[in-house]
Formats: sequence, C-alpha cells, structure tokens
Amino acid sequence: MQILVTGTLLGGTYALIALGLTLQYGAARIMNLANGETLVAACFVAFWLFSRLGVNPILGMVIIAPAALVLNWLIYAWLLRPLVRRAKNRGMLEVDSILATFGLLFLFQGLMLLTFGGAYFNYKFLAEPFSILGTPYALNRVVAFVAGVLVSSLLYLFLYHTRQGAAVRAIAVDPASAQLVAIDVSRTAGFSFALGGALTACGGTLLSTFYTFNASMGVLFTMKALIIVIMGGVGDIRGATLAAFILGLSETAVASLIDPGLTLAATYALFILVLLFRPQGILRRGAA
Amino acid sequence: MLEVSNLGVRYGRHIALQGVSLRVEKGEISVMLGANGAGKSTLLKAVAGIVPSEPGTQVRMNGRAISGLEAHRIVEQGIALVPEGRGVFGDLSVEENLALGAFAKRARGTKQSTLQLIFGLFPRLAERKRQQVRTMSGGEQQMVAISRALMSRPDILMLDEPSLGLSPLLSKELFRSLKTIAESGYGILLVEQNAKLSLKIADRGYLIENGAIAGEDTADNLRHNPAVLSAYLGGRASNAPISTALPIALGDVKAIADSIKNIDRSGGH
Repeated sequence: MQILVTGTLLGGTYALIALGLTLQYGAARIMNLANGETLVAACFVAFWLFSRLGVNPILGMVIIAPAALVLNWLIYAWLLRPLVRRAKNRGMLEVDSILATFGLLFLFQGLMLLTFGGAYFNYKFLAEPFSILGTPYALNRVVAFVAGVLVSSLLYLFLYHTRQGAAVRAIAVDPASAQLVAIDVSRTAGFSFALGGALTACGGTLLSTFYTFNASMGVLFTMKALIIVIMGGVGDIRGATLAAFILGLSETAVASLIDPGLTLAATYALFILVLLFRPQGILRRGAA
Repeated sequence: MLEVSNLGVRYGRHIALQGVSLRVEKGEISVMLGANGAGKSTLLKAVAGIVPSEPGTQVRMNGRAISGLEAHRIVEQGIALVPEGRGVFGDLSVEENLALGAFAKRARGTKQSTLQLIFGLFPRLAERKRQQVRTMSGGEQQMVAISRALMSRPDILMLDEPSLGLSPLLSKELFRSLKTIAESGYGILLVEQNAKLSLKIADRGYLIENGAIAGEDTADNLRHNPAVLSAYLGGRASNAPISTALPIALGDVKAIADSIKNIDRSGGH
C-alpha cells in the first residue's frame, strides 16, 4: 500500500516531465536531448527563489513556467526551425535535432556547473509528515503531486477543448494533413516545443521540493522522460500519463522491495519489455 | 474563380510541369486526365502550396495572386485539397476530423450549416461520428476526407484520385456526391484515372501529358472524341486517325508509354 501511494505521488511529477517531452517530440518532432537541462535549470531557479527571496516554489512556477516558455521558444526559433526547414523527412530531422540538442545539453550543463558547481542541492519545503490512510508521507511530495495533477488537467483542457490545442494534436497526428486544414504547422510546432519546455520546467520545480539535485543530473531525467514517452507511444498524451505512473510505481517497488540501487536497472528493463512487446505504445492498437 | 497560368514545377533537374494553364469556375467540375506520372498530382500540390512552383507561375484565386503562399494560407483563400491517399487524421474520430476541417478562419461561422450539408450527403458519417477514422473502410475514409475539406468552406475543392481503391459501385456513388457538391455552388478540380465516370459528371476536361496540357475541351466533346476514347477510355484505337482527331497532341500511344516510364522520376506519386 505504501509502495502504491509513494509510487503514485512520484508518478505525478514524472507525468509533467514526460508530457513536456511528449509535446516536444510527439508534436514538434524535436527529440530534445536537452529536455532534462530545462528541468535542472528549473530546480536551481526554484531553489534560488526560495532560499534568497523566500518565494514558495509552487508560486515560483508562475515565474518559472513562462520563463521556460520564452526560452524554449527562442531555442526553437533560432536553433531548430532552420533544421526543420532543411529536413527532407522525419528521419533526417530526428538525426539533426538529436545532434543539435546534444550540443545544447553540454552548453546548458556547462553553464550550470560554472554557476553552481557540481555539489548536490536541496532545500526544506513542507518537509513535514502528512497522513494518508494512517501512514505518514512527506507533505512536499503530496503537494507536488496535487500541483502536478492540476497542471496536467489544465493541459488536457487546453488540448482537448481549445482551437489552438486541437492544432497541437493535429500536428502530432499528421503534420502533412494539418497544413491542409489551414493550420500553420511551423508556428504550432514552435508553440508546442515552447509549451513542452514550460511543462518540463513545472515538473522540475515540483521535483526540487522533495529531491536532491545537482547540475549534471539532467541526462538521467531526459532518459526517464524518453522512456515514458516511448512507453506511452510517441505523441500520445494519455499513454504518456499512464506510463509515467507505471514508471513511478515500478521504481518505488524495486527500490523498497529489492534495492534502491536497482531503480535505473528496473527502468530500463521496463523500457526493453515495452520495445519488445508494444513498440507502438501501451495504449495504441496496431503498428505505429 | 481559380485561374492558373504558366504553372511550372521542377523536382531538382526533372521538369514535372511546364506552362500549365487552366480555370475552374464556381459550380463547375473540371477534370484533369492523364497517365500515371503525367504530373496531375503535382499540379494539385502546386496549387495547394505543398510543392513550390517555378518563378513565372501565376495562380489567382478570386482575382488575388496566391502563388508562393504557404499551404495553410491557401486554404484561407478558399482552396481545399483532398490529397491522394486521403490524408485524414487516422488516429482521431470522425467528429474530430470534421472539427479540424473547420479550423480555417473563413470557416468559423459556418460550421453548423456545413455539417448539415455533409450529413445530408453522407448520412453514414452522422451515424459514425465517434468512430476512429483509421478503423473505417476505404469508401468511408474518402467521405471523411471530402467532408473535412468541405468544412473549410472552400470555393474550390480539389481532389486527387478520389476513386482510387474504391469498388466500381462506390466510385459511382462518390461521383454522384461530387456532382451534388458542385450543384450546391462549389467549384471542383478533379484529377482522375477513371476517365469514363469523371467525364460523365464534369463540365470541362483537360488532358495532361508529360507535364504539359495536351488538350482541353468540354467534357461532352471529350467523351465522344475517338482519340480520347482510345487513349483514356479503352476504346478501339483504329476508329479514327489520331493525328487529325483534335488540334491537340493526345492519344499518342508512344507518348503515353513514355509518360508511364516516367513515373519513377516524377516524384508526384
């Protein structure tokens, strides 16, 4: 039971991070290897806002998310759009964007190492017990989960009940057809990429309230997000959410039942199983 | 309405289209006939802004120059394309496909009335609103594709081989629907292999060969022209001397054979 609750709480934060990459990879078609760097940067900004200015990290998201949106929009406009224009097909764009964002990863990681050094950081925010069904859990994890669910719900409302959201889903399904219904694919892709960055930054902010972070852990989270996205089916919002919870639960289960050192191994084992048996994603029928 | 003059398209060094001119009027069906690889699909893609056209090309829609505009802007000018292979959003439901069809600014106020036209035309879509399009039959998917294009309230509807992969019976039904659509005021530019059925509903026909217009006439005249019959309708080639049949160079069996050889290079398919 405790595993279920802890895993679910963790899954809430993972869902946000993975939804960010889903929008970037599934809709904007950019495999962003620097996605985890956005997350780590958000951790540091949240840390800085909290320890220097005493800003509550949940409120901090109000600053961090729009900042990440703008930053990611600029990255798309300056670095990635030329690649999209040049690419003759999806495969070529995939290779180019992986190489470009790989470079971006090192740039951002270097900047953060320069500023903060390689040490581990954390801060005390709502580090008090909160009882669920008689068992105490850390309140910050519960708050992060609730905030994550709220932000994801907003994203759902946007994607499924607004015009612009429908455009994002359309380019995720089929960009060639999207242009035939008057959707500006290039602009919508830029927007999806920026929105994805903002979501990942929200995930990072929430993560920082209960997790010890350092400047070079971005790659780890890019990989987790990638695993969740592949598991859910590229571009599949609901699949990614479900996969995030599966990952949260299985990591928690392995850490508490077997050994905490094996969580990464469990993550990849899950990934390989999905690739072998459901390469199109857990919720999709037929071949992708 | 839609006026195309001197349209040229080039894929690298291969000239796919050259000096193509045509017009489509409101309420009128024009059909473009030609062998595989003659450049029919490329023509529609160029008008829709999906492939770039050569300098010197002039495309005017309702008097406004639209060549060089991006594809999504051309939809806003009133031209909708139903591409070859339909291009529907397979993962989405019928309802969602139709809603996205009305994404264009020009279509915002007319969603309900267009839906009524569509459900009158294709009652089956009304019954299957929530079905995922990928799970539907070919004929039904074609209905979704045409309906989605209609949702943008186009003045001109362009269709690339809509009868491809449909049974003769379904094709007949489809062409009847197209006639109804034209009668409600839409201009239709149709690219087809099925010359017999398409000339029956069309007002004008164009013959395209090796990337150029080889002839044009009213659909009725084309239907009864022996040279056209032999080349496109499977009639007997010996009925009339091809060279004197029309002031156009069509029906030349060798040219058609050549254009068939060109399929691979055209890139239009």
